[in-house]
Amino acid sequence: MMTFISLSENDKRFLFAILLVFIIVLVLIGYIGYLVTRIMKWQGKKMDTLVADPVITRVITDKHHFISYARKKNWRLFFKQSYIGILILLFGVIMLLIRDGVYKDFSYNPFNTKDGFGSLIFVWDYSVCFKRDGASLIVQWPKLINTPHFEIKAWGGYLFAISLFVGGAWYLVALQSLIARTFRMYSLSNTAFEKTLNGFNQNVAYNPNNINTNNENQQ
Amino acid sequence: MITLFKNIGRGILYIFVLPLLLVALAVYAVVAIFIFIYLAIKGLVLFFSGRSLYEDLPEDIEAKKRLGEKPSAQPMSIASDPLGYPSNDTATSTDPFYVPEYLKPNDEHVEEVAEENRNEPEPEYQPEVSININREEEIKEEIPQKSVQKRDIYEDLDEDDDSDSGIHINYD
Repeated sequence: MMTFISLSENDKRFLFAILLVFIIVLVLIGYIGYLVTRIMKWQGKKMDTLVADPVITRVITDKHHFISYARKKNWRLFFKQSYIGILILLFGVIMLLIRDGVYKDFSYNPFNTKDGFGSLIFVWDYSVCFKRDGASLIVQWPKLINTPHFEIKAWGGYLFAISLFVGGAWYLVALQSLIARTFRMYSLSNTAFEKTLNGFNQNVAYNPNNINTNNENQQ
Repeated sequence: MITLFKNIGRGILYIFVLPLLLVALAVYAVVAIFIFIYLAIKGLVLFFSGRSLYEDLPEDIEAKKRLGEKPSAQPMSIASDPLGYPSNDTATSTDPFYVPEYLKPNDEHVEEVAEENRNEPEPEYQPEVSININREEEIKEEIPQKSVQKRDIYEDLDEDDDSDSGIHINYD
């Protein structure tokens, strides 16, 4: 019997650990995706509230009219939901521009580790992890190049980064809600004006006033 | 275990679809920014012309008119009201502040009645129903005589007989 690869006990353990981590990551991604789907379904229900009255009162009676109306309402709600996030983003950009103007440095990187937002977080240098020394590969821990510290000159970077995170998250949530409502809009446009013949038989005596009763009896 | 495999499968699917989703999200985000700018400009113009971006669309106005005047399309009916109120009124599931017609205070009617009451003198109290105060007769008439024969429960009690309970039951 030929053996192509011989694995030691340590190699097997290492491979098993990698496989386990991979499975856990897949399960986590699956759960996150499921959670996002559920949240989007919940957000999409807002579309029902937006379009209910004209549809119930039969002001809107066809699919194209419905989509046109629902799209207008959808974008309006998006504007209403997202304008605070956009204002926060604008505030951050204005602060950054003021900081650049004050220090006359328009090449300033607001995320740098010296006088930017990077000064507030741990930063490691991963380029030293793998080094080749002749035929052997040397593996090292990443080198810590910054520990959190406060820099007064980095106030523009701090304000910009915080505004970017808060405003960006706000905008993304509003965007996700917009997409969820758009899906719901197309779903409703297919079902709200649907005519069904389930439970209807033309050969049974037809009374338009009793059609619902007939259906109920058949169910 | 099946749930675990489902989640693993879902995770693999999301890993493959994620780049496409991110591209779609980015495109949507850019388009949304442009539409946001358009709506912001439109909102400003409408604001300075004394109107609002959130004002009702023609469909909303028509719907409100129909709901106000003839609210009997196909919304949730209150025909199954446990109090048995008239089912002519309707309610939409979307209106959290909906008050049925029969629960709304009719101020005009209340004022009219109050005005009439002020003008009219208070009538004397005249009971229309007479009450029979002869209670003995009443009780005799109402309570039927039961056909139970009274017997002394101890009349057949024999001291010598231990099995006798001392209670006599008449089934007639």
